[in-house]
Amino acid sequence: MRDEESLVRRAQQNDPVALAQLYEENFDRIYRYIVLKIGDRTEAEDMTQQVFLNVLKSISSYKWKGMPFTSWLYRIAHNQIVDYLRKKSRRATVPIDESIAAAGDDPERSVLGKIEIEEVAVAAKKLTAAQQEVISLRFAGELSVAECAKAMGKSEGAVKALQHSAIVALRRVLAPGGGL
Amino acid sequence: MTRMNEFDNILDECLQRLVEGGSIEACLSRYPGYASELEPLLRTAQATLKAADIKPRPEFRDRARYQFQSALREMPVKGKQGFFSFLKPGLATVIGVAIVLLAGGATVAAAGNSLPGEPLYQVKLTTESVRLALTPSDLGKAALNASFADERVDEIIRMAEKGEADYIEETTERMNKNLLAVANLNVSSGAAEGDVFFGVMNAPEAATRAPVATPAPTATPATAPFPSPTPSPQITTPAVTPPPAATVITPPGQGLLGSKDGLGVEEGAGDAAENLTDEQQLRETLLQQAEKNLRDLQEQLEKAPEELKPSLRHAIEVAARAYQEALATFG
Repeated sequence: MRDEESLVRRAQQNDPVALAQLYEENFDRIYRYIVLKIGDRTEAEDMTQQVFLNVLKSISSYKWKGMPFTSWLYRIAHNQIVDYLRKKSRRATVPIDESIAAAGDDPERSVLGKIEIEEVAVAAKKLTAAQQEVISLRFAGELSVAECAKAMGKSEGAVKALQHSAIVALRRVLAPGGGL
Repeated sequence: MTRMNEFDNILDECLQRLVEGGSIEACLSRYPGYASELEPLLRTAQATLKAADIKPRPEFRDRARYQFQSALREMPVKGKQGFFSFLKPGLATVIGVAIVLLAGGATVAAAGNSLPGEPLYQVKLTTESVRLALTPSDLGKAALNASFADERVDEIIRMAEKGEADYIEETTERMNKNLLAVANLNVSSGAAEGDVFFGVMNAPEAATRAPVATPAPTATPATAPFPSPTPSPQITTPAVTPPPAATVITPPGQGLLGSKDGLGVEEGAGDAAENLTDEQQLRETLLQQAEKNLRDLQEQLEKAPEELKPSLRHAIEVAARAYQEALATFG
């Protein structure tokens, strides 16, 4: 944690090496997290880029309070996603969900046991917001339960319970026939 | 602990093992009493983990990295130049001189061999700044900046040899600034001026010329910690006339305008050399440095490990352009 604190402090001084390290360590994870949340890789690319530009703009205002830096980073990504979804809901679009959601009944998919991230994204929409968040942070962001708890402002016990109920719900949506 | 809490903990432990590459079967055999409940959930979790295991497209990764890097370059470095910034420039110079003198010759000499990231490197940069501040003429400052750029190239090569990519880009940027300072030389004014520069970290900023633009990105292999997504360099040795045969780099202490940087023409090197003006001497020195430095950087690139190559390519490209700009100043 002290290493991370030192790295973040250097980044706050606009140290390019420290900022580059934070970028490289988190870029893929943030991208996966956004794809899983919105189910659109192209949009996720633009949003991932924007997340890190926002980090540059606001890192000087970040206050170290013993929270992992990733908690703050995922909050920026989360806010970006909320903005995106809000704007998207205002636009009349043809939902892409139907064809992908139907994949849950695809016998071949069930046999292979292989699903795509877009399918998970669609399935996750049937979950509660908190369940979606814990699935995205744990499986795409690869955060530990402790990190998820800090990012979500919940206890570790609550996150474990959420994780359990989220997987149960996800299973119900993804594999109604129990193929997974 | 309730049974549900216990199950949540077991599920979490198994999930963590899956994230780390463990197998479902290992988890089930570890908790046989929960196997029937655990298995379907772990299968869903494993399928989700596999689905989420995607990578950004390389083109996107490069584009994003380039954009981030560009934004990074536009940001001012905080703190580093603030050490003396609260002082008036003249006073800062005096204090800087005092520090260099108090530090003693041994420290300054030791610092001269230091590399970015090492404790004495700041002493080295401070010493350079003090020397610039104490050099009254534009031409003298340009000569010093040329020698500092030479030093930066040496640092880049030594860091590449040590496998330290972290500071290569930073040093490339300093080299660029040194050469831009040469490029901004007002050739007609060799007269002493009263301007004083004392930047602990920063080489003199180019006052009128924009920094050498970093070219648009193309795909490069991902490397740590922060590869520069520049295109494969077209190494262009500056297109200038070859130096006169009589031009010889002088040993330290006998250089141009009393500089210790070997930027002059050796005594007795020949009539042609004696007839060169200070500006011509500087131009010839720059030309030789450009050719040698680009050649040395290219050699280093060829033998460098893959992870260092993007940074070295960037250094070569910046050096080629900046030397060309600097040489163009002399017509």
